[in-house]
Amino acid sequence: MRQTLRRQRWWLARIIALPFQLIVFAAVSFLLVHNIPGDPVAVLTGGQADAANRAAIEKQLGLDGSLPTQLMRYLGHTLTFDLGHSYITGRSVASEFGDRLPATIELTLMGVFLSAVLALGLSYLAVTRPRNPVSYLVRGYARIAGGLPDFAVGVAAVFVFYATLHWAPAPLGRLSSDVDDVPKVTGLPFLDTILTGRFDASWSMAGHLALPVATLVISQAGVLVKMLIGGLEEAVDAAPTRFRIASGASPAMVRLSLVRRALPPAVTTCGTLFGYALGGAVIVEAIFGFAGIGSYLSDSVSSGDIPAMQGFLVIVAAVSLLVFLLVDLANMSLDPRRRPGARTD
Amino acid sequence: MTARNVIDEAGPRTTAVSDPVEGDAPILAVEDLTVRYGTRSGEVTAVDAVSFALGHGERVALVGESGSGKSTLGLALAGFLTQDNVHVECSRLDFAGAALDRDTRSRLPRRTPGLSMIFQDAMTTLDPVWPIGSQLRAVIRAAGRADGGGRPSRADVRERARYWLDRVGLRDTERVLRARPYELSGGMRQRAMIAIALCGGPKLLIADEPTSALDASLAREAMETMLTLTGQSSTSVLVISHDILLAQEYTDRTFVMYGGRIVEQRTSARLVDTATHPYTVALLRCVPTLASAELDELPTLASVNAEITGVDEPTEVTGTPEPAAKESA
Repeated sequence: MRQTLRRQRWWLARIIALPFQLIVFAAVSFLLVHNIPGDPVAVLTGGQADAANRAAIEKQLGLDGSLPTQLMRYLGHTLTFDLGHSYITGRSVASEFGDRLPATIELTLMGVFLSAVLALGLSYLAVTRPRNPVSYLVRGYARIAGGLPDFAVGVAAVFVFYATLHWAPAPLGRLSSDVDDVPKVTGLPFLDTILTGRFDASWSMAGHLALPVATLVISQAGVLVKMLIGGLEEAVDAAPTRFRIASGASPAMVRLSLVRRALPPAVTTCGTLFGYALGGAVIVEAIFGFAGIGSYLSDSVSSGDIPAMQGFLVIVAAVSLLVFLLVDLANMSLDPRRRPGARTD
Repeated sequence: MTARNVIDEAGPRTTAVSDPVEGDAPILAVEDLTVRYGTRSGEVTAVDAVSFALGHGERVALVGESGSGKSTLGLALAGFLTQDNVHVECSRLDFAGAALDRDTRSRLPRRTPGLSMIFQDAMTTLDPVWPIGSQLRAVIRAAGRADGGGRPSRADVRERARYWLDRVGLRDTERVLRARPYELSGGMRQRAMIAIALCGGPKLLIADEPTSALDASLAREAMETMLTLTGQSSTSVLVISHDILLAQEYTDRTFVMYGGRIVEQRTSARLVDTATHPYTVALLRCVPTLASAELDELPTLASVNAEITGVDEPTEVTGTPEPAAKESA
């Protein structure tokens, strides 16, 4: 038992550390937002509150007591997934995000996952078949990596495929107007259509998702392709690849070995890309009329809705910490030398 | 001189019995192999119209200085020069009785069945992310399928992996099977590499500087392990080395490479008496012996060449022990 525990420490330790990292981040974000100039009570009452009213409102908003008291109260609530209530709408911030975030995450994940799969396939082709015409195209694409902003690609996609060619449906949400709404199961819209067996909705949604996801992939896969081409090119001529081939491992094993050694930097990039894709998804949602966290965010910033902003920071931090935990775990599985305590000489 | 003769000259090796059918044809026949690298400043010829043949079970050393093209030749034979700027040409390249036909479109080299290779440093050669056992089993499984015996059973593959570790003298089998290369000592890694290279039953093993990363005693051990095992299976060996003494001691024939050409192909045991090319002669005279310990200055290629040609060139320092020269002054 103890032996097993010690061997699994490399990932257990990271998972146990996760909530603590989140609490530290929540505290920092609380202090940051707290120091934003402005008086929420004055905003809410239009500067008309007398002392008694003021105290009541402060108590209601959780702004009474000293700073440490407020901080501890905030952290306590955060630990129980209570992110407070919006100053403006009075609705629970946690449930607002619960309603909107899954859709955005689904879009982001589709973009990142497809980018990763396509990038791996294309860069493998570009490296192993350098004289194939497709390889020239892939290398050309990699060269302009990062030079294709998502908002430009998105607008161009709508212009070409909806306005001009009429291939794509109108950019007005995830479902065509003649398709009934799908009951909520997980909150991930596309997954829900499958779980509820509403394949008509799946089909409609796939059509509506094609351009937005393509926009994310086109604007983001280039960086990955570039990175993977570099990694694979180095790995093809590396001694371990040659030794695998020469000693007589099967071609499938040689490919696996090659990719496993070339992958870690690209996995790290995928993690960074997830952050960009989340930002990109907010923009893409605006272009294609999708429901998601995009509009909620811009509203809360312009109205000075502190609980909503704070909630956003904590949630984004949680998502990022989770993504980078997954990135680290993936890399430590791919390359055991990255595990803490691995002896390398 | 054919390859057969060489084997006979080297004395009867009880286990090195060549296949009677294939016996007369060489395992590897190369004619006019040329390798050119395209660089910014034009083409560089690394290997220049090299021709030779290797007999079944024969051991040949390919020696020469850095940049003589010996490693390039090894890589070309194994089919590893797939880069866009490298051009490999030859009028004949026969291996195991058939012309080698290689896919030139793929950048990822394909294996030449029956041709195995080991490299200088086991630390960088072994796959760093997989345990030794997994790397061994991958080869054993593929070899089992290639033999036409179908997919070998798991237990069978495991058994063979243990057997091979045992054969290269790694006793702590269970630990080594689970260990990754960085968890083993240098000597153990080298042995593990030899086991992986040989467990697929190759007909020819190309060893590119197999001992340069090891100290003298480990180098001899590794060399002996490698040659004992290849001897038992009558696998031909081409050892690429800059260590002319080690090469002479362990091989049947020695090829000396200089400036991209093979300038000498001699029986190893008689290399000292029969060498004719000035480079070989000079190289042999540079080998430090107990007698040369008496000298003020160890001979270098430059000093020996100057002596031979009678021209008193200013001695170029190529690995000369400078302090010795100062002491004598």
